[in-house]
Amino acid sequence: MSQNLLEVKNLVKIFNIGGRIFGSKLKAVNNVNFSIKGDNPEILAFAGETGSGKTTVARMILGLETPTSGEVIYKGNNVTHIKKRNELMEYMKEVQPIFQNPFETFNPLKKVDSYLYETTKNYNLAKSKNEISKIIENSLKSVGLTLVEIEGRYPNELSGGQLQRVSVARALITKPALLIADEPVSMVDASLRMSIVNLFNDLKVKYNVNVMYITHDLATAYYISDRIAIMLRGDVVEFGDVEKVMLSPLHPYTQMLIDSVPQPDPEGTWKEDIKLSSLEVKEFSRLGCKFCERCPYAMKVCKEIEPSTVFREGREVKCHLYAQDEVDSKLKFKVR
Amino acid sequence: MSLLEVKGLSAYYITHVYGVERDVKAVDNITFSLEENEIMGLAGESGCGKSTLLKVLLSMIKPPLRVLSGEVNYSYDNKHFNLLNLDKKQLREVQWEDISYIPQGSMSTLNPVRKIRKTFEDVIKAHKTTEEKEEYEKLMEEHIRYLGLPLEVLDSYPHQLSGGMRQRTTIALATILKPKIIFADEPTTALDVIVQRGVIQMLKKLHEEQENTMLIVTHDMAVHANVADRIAVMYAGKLVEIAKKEILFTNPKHPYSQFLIRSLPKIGDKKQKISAPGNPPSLANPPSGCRFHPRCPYVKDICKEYIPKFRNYDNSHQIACFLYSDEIEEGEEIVSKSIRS
Amino acid sequence: MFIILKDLLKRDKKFLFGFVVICILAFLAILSFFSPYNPRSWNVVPKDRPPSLKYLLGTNSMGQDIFWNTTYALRNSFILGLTTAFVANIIGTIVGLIAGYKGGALDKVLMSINDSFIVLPSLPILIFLSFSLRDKMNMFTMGLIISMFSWPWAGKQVRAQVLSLRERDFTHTAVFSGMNMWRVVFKEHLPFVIPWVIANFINTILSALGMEISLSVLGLSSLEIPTIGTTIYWAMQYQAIFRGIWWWILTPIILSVLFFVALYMLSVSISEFLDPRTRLQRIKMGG
Repeated sequence: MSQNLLEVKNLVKIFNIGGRIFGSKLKAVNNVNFSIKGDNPEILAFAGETGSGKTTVARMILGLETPTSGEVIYKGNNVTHIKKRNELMEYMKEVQPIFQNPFETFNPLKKVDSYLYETTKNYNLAKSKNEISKIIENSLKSVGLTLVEIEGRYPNELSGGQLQRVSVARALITKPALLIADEPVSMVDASLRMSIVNLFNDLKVKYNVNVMYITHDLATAYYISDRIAIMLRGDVVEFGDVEKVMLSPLHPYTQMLIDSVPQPDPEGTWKEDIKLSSLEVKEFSRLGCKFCERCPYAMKVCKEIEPSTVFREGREVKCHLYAQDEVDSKLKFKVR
Repeated sequence: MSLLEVKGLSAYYITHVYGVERDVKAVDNITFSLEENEIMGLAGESGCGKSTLLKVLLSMIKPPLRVLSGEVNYSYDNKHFNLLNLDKKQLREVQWEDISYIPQGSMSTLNPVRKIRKTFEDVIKAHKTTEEKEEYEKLMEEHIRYLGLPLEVLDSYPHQLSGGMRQRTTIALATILKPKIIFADEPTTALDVIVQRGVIQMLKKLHEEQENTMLIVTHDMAVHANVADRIAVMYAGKLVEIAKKEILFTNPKHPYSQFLIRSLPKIGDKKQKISAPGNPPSLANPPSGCRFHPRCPYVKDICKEYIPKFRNYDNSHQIACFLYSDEIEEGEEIVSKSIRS
Repeated sequence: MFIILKDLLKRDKKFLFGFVVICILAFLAILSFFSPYNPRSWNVVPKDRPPSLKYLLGTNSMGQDIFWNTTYALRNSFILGLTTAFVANIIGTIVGLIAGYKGGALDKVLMSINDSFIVLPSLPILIFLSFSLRDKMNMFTMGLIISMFSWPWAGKQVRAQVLSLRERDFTHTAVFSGMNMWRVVFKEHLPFVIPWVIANFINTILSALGMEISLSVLGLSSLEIPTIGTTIYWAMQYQAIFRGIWWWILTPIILSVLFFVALYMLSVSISEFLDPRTRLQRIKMGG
């Protein structure tokens, strides 16, 4: 199969804040391009801070948000604006979401297993009651749960970890090729977190599922992903193999980000103090590179012209420092 | 004398809804002390009772929360008192000036309809005798600048600031009167990585310069690693281990602490991490005996029936586990029944 | 079901009061089927007799037994109130659920229709309709007409609630579970909306009764039909207050006050009971 599983082309999202006359525009996602091959299942992480646009990208792929421009192509079909119900069902069968808050994922007034039954029935995966139960049992087994544990229970009777597992089980029923997980462990307790993270890895290895893992937790992103995209205020500033990007980052923002992750090491993590940006909203409306205010290597061009994405040292990076083909000796600096 | 000594503190949420009674044993027989000039971290997952413990240590006790037993003894500057015995007036004198609090979720201390400047003025005026406008304006601006915040913050409304900025402003507010003890509840949760670093930096700077004592509650062990001197681990309403940070991270003794430390992912480390099996218990209906026993890989018969006593393992290392001692916690059928009748 | 009822009756004094009073009134309404007199006939009993064992609530100046007349009035009140409440709330809820969920063009169309009905002046039109349809007017018809003015309120309120519900994650989960619009709207959103609808149901009954009384007292509805409003009308026509026939004018007034208060108590305690937040607490308790 030569076509890619998922292709995202020039995706842009602009939000209108305030009214039509006096409002302003917020470019939440600025020209995002990437693809997932699908022949070897992978875990692709989208990392960034609040307002980076990572969740908006995920929502556009899921169809929960309409892109202002750009395309989402799944298995060769343009799925950016699906109108017909049967086309939508076909797409949703293959691409399923996992949401951040396990307690919001399910209706608090409904029993949790109702969603498992709905999914099985609505996608016509089984006819008889027996078959349906079997499918649900299997799905629950693959996430380490049994039907007995969750049957007849309401969301507030289960823990965050259990609910998140049920959420994954539900998403797996249709045997999707791609799971889009939006911060799936940020609201799960620290003591249960790794078991859910490990679960995603199992899904990739045992069930051939690709996972798009949206997170702000770089430590877990490093732990399970194969490739990672670092987003800043709507731009993908660095994108590539996780070992390369996280252990020898090129973009100054990636460097600052990785450096700022507190390591669980009693020796402490940081040697220098950091200077925080003053009023962060200003960064969005920057003309040039969004990071230039805080960048230790900012040049005049950074303030005026938006950098383009280039391929350097095995990954994509969007930074004027790497824009020239010949690297100026003055600009050659130490990489972590 | 320790700055803060907590003895046998128990506080439950006693609720009575639609004919069903429930005791949520959020703080159960807790004993520990906080020494002057140290930063203690309180770790544990959400729902283990650490936020409730903090509320009791600040005497922010509102029904259905009730203190059932125990003492909260403060001792500093020739003042010695049990916080639980103070009346409202005495409490107000102590709060904010000697003991201050950084709550979870930065919107709570900042009045949404007043400019930050006014909120700061209110706090200063309520506690200091100076009415001189210049004096306290100077105090405000110096403090803000000292903490690395832009002066524009004072003239903004809370909703105009980002989450990180609000949190830092809240910290500024809590420390402007140079209190002796600062209690912080999840100060870095929900903040971005880079802002989190700035907040941790700020807390450490304040600690060094103002020479105060801090108790920081968070479930994020990485934050504790970078800020705390000693770390206390709570599980299901009870303390299970207190140790110096270096010791806890390299050689945790309690099985729950072991799971907590060993499951932490680290950049550069792709080794498999495993988290604790099972699920955290309900505080209303905790397991019998040691609360961790259903999930413990070393469980013995005694663990299912009796609660291990929280005692000294060695110098400045305390632990509650039958792996290290046979002592049983004095079983007191907590007096909740008599309160209800 | 019955366990819940017993529970409510035991715990909530408001519910107890409301429930008991409505039951009594309903019982009286049912008694009307056993009335020995035709409510439209006059001079079947001696006029202007005060309450006694023979005539429980006395008689009026048209020679009717007030007690049996009142049972008919109550029956008509129930028919009117329930008709209006059912029709208005079913239409309004469905419109609100769909408009709120679908959004876009369908929402705009539905809300334009909705707003047009809100803007219509209800009293003049009702006066006109009840006047011109006098002969064919019965409680059922009046209920239908009044509901035309009541449904838009439900439409708007339900839609407002759905607008926030549809952004919540569990709506997305439902969509990705393959649920179509009808299933999502009725299985996911309706349970949240129901407490409000029930409270509004009772309020619609109240407003329908109030409207009927207003119309009848002004002499604008079919005056042979015994209702609380027409009773007051006739009592005033015959100067009951000045002539000291207090039992004739007091009966409808006290009854309507009782009816209104009882309905209000029921509305408050039921919506408290059904509030999602207290419902969740009860689920937690296992109760």
